[in-house]
Amino acid sequence: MNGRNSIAVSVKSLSLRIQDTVILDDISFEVPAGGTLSIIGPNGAGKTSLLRCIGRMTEPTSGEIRIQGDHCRNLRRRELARRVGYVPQAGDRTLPYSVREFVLMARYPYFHAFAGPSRNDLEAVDNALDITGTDGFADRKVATLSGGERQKVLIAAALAQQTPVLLLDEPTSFLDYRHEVDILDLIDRLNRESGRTVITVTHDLNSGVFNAGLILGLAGGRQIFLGAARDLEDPDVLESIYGIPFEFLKHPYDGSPVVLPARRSG
Amino acid sequence: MKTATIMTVLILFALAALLTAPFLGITDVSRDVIFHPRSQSPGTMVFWQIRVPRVLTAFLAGIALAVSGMAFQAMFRNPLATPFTLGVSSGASLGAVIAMRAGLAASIWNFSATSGAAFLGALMAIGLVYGLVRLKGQFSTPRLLLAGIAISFFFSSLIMFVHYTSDFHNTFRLMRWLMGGLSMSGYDTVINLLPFCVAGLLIVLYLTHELNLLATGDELALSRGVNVGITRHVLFFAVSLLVGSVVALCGPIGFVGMMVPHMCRLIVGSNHRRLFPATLLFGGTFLTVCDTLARMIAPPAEIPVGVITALLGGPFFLWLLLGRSEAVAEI
Repeated sequence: MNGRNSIAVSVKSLSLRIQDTVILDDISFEVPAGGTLSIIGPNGAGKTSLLRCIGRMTEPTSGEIRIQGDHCRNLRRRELARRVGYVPQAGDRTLPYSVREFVLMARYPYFHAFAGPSRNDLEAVDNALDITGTDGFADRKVATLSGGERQKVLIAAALAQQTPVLLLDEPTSFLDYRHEVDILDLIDRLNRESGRTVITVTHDLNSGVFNAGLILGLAGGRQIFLGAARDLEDPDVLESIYGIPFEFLKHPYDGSPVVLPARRSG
Repeated sequence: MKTATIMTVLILFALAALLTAPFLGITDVSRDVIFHPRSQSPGTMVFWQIRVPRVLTAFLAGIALAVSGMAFQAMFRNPLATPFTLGVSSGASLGAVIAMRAGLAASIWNFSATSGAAFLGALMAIGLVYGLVRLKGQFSTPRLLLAGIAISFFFSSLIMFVHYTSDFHNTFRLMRWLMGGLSMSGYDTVINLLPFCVAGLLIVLYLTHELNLLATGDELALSRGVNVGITRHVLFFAVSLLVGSVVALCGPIGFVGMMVPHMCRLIVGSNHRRLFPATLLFGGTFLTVCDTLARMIAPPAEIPVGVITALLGGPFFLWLLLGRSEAVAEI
């Protein structure tokens, strides 16, 4: 029993079918508390569906998910929302609120009906705005923000939820380089400094995947790879995930691997 | 403008409407009637027995329709998705028409069977529309609106069928009622309306945090800990109470639930902690003013108030649809 709570998220034999289509097939992994997991794979591999199952936005067809040792489906939704925060793909979702309002709404699992926000709620919001650097435009409407700013706001909201586990879906896609670096740094800090368990879905292998503690490779809903970053430094493994060959380069400064998809015609 | 200022202005408007409306109309009423409610003069009778209950009914019905519209717009993330456009009013009308045609005069503790039938009709319509949309996989707003229109047509034809089987006298009565009017209101209307409205409004008020998150989409609402399924069903129940009770007593008055909450949203924003009180105040004021106009526009006749709201609502609908595309997307 002692070591159980040191596993933040455990997924066992997870499968998801939607109307006879297999989305996820027999996925199993464990993420230790304070650890990081990168979920990689081509489009349609089931990465987002897996993330949604962990946050219980989709009910899996079979298998079990435990959060800090407790069965996900036995937890009340509010309790789950105090343990797992979710940052969706920024996309062009319409959020008709000001940044501060939207972030405050993420305190819902701590709210009481009829009552207004407590001092704790307001502090958590200020904190989240501060950490993400969104306090500068806290009173602007979310709809008026750029993609990068909006992504930071979505992260700020999940932070205001004050959860030990954070799920991020493609946090850097469609962002320019500055925002990408900002957000990768931010996620790093959240993991290192505040000890959050971070699970990130990404399709960009060069956006921090090789720094992750654990990597899960999906293709066609199946688990192709689960292991440490150094085991991923194998062209055959990557090819089995993405179906195309890759070239490995060394980063000129820190020597970490950089991958390039190889053009067949080249 | 600060929220407190806006709310104060809305309260003043509401009071002004409530206090002046009973004095306006074809029969002149002197101010003295307030102090002699038991006098037998025609002015006093008109004021206390006809206009005051009618104004109260209008105010209450306006609140109920506006707040139920607000809840639907947030839940379905589209200002066009209101109980009226999604066929809920038609469902309530069908229930009420069947009850009237069948002569269900039965009443339990003074509440008419018509109200109960309208409530069930409303609930059935929501169930049908929502069920149809969910039947085939993912939820989508265009499909919801189309399903609402289809259900509306279907219920309207059933209503016509009931009409056809009625005698001349009943047909006329049903026809006038379907136009949405407040001319038959008395104190019993207010008393019949009140418990349904209070219950429905309290439920919606209890769920303002949830409405805020539902308006950001199911996915985010779930991830913040909202029990989306249960919340939605409870809101369906509350809206059915509100719409059913109003339709049973006043007929299907359209577009209030579309115009009022959307206008309030433009003024106070989309946060339901502010939007709820604003919609409540403005909804009551709006229908009271519309009904006063309906009484005065073509003397000595009285136009059904549903005609006025539809005349305003049609262009408003088009304005939402064509003019401000971002407004349609952005609830």
